[in-house]
Amino acid sequence: MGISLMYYLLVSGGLFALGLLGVLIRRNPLLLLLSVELMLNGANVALIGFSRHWNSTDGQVFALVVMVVAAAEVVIGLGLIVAVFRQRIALDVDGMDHLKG
Amino acid sequence: MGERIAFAIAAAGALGCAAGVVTLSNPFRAAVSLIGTLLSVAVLFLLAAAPFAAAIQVIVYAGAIVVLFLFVIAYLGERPPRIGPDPMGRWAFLMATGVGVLVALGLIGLLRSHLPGMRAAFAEAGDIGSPRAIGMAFVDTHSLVFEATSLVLLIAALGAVLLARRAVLGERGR
Amino acid sequence: MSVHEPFWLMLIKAGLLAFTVITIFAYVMLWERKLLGRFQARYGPNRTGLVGYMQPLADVVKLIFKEDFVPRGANKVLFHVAPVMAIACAVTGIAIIPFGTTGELFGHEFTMYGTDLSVGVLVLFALSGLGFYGMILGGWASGNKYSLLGAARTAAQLVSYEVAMGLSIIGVIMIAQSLSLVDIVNAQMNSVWYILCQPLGFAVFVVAAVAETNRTPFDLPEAESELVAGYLTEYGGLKFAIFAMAEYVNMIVLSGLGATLFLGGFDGPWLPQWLSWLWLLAKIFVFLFLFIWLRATLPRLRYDQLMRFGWKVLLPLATLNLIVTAIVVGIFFQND
Repeated sequence: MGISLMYYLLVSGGLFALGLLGVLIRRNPLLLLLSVELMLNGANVALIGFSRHWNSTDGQVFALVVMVVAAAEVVIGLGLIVAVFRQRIALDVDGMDHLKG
Repeated sequence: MGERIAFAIAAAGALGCAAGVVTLSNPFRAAVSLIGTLLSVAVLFLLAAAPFAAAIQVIVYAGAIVVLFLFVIAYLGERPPRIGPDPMGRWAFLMATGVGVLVALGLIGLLRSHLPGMRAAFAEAGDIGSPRAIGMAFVDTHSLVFEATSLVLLIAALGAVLLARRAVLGERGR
Repeated sequence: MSVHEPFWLMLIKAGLLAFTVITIFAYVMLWERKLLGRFQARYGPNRTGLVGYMQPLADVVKLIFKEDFVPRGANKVLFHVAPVMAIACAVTGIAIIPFGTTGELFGHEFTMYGTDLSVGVLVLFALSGLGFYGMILGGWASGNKYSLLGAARTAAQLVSYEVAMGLSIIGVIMIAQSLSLVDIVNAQMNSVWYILCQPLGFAVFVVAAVAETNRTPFDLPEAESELVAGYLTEYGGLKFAIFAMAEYVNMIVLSGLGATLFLGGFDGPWLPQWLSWLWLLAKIFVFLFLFIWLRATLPRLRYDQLMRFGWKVLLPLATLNLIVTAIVVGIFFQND
């Protein structure tokens, strides 16, 4: 009576899909970053599931590296948001199109 | 049996809180909902013989990254990005449909797969998740990745300091 | 070392541990007030009961009967959830601290600790990380600028000192070759207590623990004369009692961690094995006395001094300890 790989992949797919939906819908860049974190967590769940399936540590190492990269990305993302905010621009990703050709 | 119940609760918690992150309009509540997702995912890691990854997930993600989010949300306040009718309704519906189609395709592909071991319960796990195993993997097999991640963290820290400094200069210059 | 215990035994143990920690908390509060009194050349509370031993009961009764209000601009759900989160994470930490090895009761073998995880030390860090949320959510959900500022300051202080605390513990982990607290105590039973091997690590740990629990001299975020009362401003009655309880239980858990990592846990000379938890309690009380003594004696640090101290003094010292320990363990003790 155990868990199989399929369940892990289902949860991972669900988290990734919800994160994808959040990235597509959200206008507030903070909420967008939260959705990106959801996608990264979905990927981590899949990695850990596979690592358990093949009985290998490599998947977990990969998941830890993903966590580190997520932390670094959040730091820079939030720094950018704060910098944009300080320039008195409204926090709306659809409105930040000044570089549009 | 107990494992299945725990998995079901954790999976429901993860997906439910993820739905909360995507739909809640108040950024603070969305961040708190993300904490629920992260804790549920940590429980999923524990069920997959990854105790070290679960602890690191809670310490790094729930204990540091979301705290950073909460700081910035508290700093930036919660005024809505624009005043007026929200033209998002139709776009959101289209995107939800699109993602729903992708999810359906993925589900069909997954449930019909005949790859070996997909539906069988996990075999007995060796020592794959303990700190010793992960430490050996990082130092022995994947030492390059280890060094690269430390470099990534250093660059991120430098970037954050630079962003904060430049913002302050920009303010004074105006 | 996995002992298979029946579920009812685990439930009894959980109840007993929770009850123990809450009772210890009540009497630590009383002991602190009496000790502070003695440090300040006066008696502590001595009206309620013989030497004031009913004082905690009187305090709890008073706080229960206070009005339980919610400020108007507050976020109701988070306002109620915040103290619960703080106390849950604090009390859960007691499950990891080992009070003894195995014992036997009615033919069933049981272990005198809640659980022994291979990542025991990390779980305590995870729990204290989750405990921050009690403060941050409490401060923000009060709908009050002073609470928010107090919560932000508290969170920044706690995150900074948690880094130093983590680094100071790694030396012990390197010597014991394991993250599990039971393994660390067993290793100390076979050799010396680690306070002798890691004096600098111990000093850094004590200072960081005082900062982690928001005690004087690091209690700027919640002191009465600063920012009203920080994140506790809008909390009254029972919720305030829960926050205070969370702070004291945090203190007890960190004392337990320090006793386990540096003073040998339940290791002690004369007592039989089933009474070894008395040694652990004695060591926890030594730590608690240290906490109270520091509060009575030292003035408070200003916030920028506090942050500067944490990042520019404590963190380099902890890193230095780590490097030296790594070199010594790597060169002299690599025989397996």
